[in-house]
Amino acid sequence: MIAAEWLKLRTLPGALWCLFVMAGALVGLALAVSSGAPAAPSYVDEFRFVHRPLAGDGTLTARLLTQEATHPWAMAGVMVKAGPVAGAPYAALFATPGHGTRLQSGFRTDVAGPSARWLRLTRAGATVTAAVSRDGGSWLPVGSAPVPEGPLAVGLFVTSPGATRGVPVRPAMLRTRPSTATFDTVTLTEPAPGGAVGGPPGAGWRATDVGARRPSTVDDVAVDGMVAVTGSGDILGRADDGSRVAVATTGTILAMLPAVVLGTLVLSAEYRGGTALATFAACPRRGRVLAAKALVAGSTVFGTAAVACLAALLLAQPLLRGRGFTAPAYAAPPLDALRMVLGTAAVLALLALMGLGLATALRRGAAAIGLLAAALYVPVVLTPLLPAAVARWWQRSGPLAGLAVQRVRETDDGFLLPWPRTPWLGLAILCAWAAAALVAGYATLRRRDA
Amino acid sequence: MDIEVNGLRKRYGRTIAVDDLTCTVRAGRVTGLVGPNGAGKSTTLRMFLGLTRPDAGTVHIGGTPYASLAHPLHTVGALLDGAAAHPGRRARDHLRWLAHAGRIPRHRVDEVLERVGLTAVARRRAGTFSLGMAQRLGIAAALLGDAPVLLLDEPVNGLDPEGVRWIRTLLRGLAAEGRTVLVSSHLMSELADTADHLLVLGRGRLLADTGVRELIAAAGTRTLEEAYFALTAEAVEFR
Repeated sequence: MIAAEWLKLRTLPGALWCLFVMAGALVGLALAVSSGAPAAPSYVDEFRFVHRPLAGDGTLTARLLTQEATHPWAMAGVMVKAGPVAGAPYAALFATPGHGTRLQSGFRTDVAGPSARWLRLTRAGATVTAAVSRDGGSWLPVGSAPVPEGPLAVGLFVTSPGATRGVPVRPAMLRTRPSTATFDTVTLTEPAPGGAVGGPPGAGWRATDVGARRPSTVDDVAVDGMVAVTGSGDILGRADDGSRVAVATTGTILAMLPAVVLGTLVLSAEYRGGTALATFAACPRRGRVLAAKALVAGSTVFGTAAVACLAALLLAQPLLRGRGFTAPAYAAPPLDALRMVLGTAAVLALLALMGLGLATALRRGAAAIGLLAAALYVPVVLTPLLPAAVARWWQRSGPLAGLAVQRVRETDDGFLLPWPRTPWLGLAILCAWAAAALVAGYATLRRRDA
Repeated sequence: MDIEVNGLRKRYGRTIAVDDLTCTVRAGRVTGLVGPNGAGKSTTLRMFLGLTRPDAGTVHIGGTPYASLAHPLHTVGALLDGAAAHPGRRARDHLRWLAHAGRIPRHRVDEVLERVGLTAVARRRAGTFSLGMAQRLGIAAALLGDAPVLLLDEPVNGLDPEGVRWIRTLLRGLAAEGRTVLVSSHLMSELADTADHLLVLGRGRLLADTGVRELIAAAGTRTLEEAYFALTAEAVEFR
């Protein structure tokens, strides 16, 4: 039966077109994204900074009271920076709604720390040491980072990523907005001669929208030692291997449609010219026919997509290097690249199976295509307009969750934010969808007359 | 290999397509399944192959229900809905996948194409075929498994006079080899020179299960056609 279904697929003109378009979308879009315009700056550096000068050594301590969870990578914390200008060297210790406490510096280093409300940065010469505390008494070290010698700016900062974070093309966007965080118990101590023990922000402190195209219209508020800071933007190095692997799969969003169409075509072709009569007369056990179709369609899509993705990866890398993408800081191990390439192929194969199952259940190829296309593409367009909870729920539990398998790094969740927790969980969710569609199809096929 | 039909019944909504059909189709002769349009001929043949689920009753082919046959295409060859081929698929590819599905040796594909006279157009897509060519492709598919039982639904449809004569010779030859040949038609005249035995259906009921000569004798008429009209006069829905 498998040999028969394989021969049927090969001799179905529409099926070959689907495979061709799918492979073309994967390779073509990867090439289009990785060539063209010259390289963008290698970092994003945009945030609200409430700061004062720091001539020599010193310690800044602050307690984070509240932080708006506008984005998993919204940041609120303390920072030392060579100056309140974008791109200046820095070290920052901050809390995030989705990724715990982090120490980052130089757009490269990223260290996770224990979750805590009290944040402290201590500068000694060319080194900054970070520590956190749950009670303001006992301090846990997070790590240290290098900073330039000489005078620096030190202070509180808040930011929340918008469209600036992320890799070139992602299937969906979430609405983002500025985040507000409140701090209290802000203390700056300078042991150097003439250094002062600073209290809460007031005289001597300034607020700057670092790297902003437009100054913030929201004023920071300081009342009774409590400071509310509102900012938006991101602090992120851009040239990383994550996007280099991701670029090989940018075509996924377009390749999904031909994959679905191929799956439905495998079934709807049976109802043209009465082929189904011959098929089910040749194999009265209809479950085996459906299984053979699933196996043939799934493996064909998987194989074609894997080859196309791999080709896209190999072709895009030299192009990206030419654009100035440098060696990775967040090293993507080859295994992750392999997971992305094969995972993308698996996502497309599973979508083809969903198409097959749905077409079998509905007995209408066009209806199955329409329904699935709506389930896949409508959220992409509507997500920014929907209530965040609804959008998140659908992205986590809908078939699109399978795209989580394309995630290279934990930080790589710029556009499609509410991915399932791990890449494999996303693939498992899509597996469940495909299995449900096939079971529904089998139930219909068994019951109905051919 | 006989076909035994027992109490077969199928209803579509309020329409009874086949009503308590019991009969035996014997090997070694051509049996004609005749009846006016809507008599239930196609539904009956589809139920023989398990394509349509009967509401009641059984069909055994050589003692086994179709769905339980170890090698369905080696046991029953069927022509149901013309070619039953995807219009975009080449005639030869259609037979090739059928051969794969039925575990039939590859050389049979070219043999049956030769036998139905389609060798020259084997690489053309089924959708470009004339009605007669499509019919021949369907017959080729039925012959593919060299099966002892042949079920042909309206095989003469669309064939030219030469084709009609060809299929008569073919069917008689197949029966002479000891095969069970069941041919449906809504035109008695098509079967007059071909069939040895007749099953006459009207409104889903079996009106006669008889030899050709016995039917003429019983009706007291001179031609088979007249005998048939006399029999089905009350069972015609669309006239």
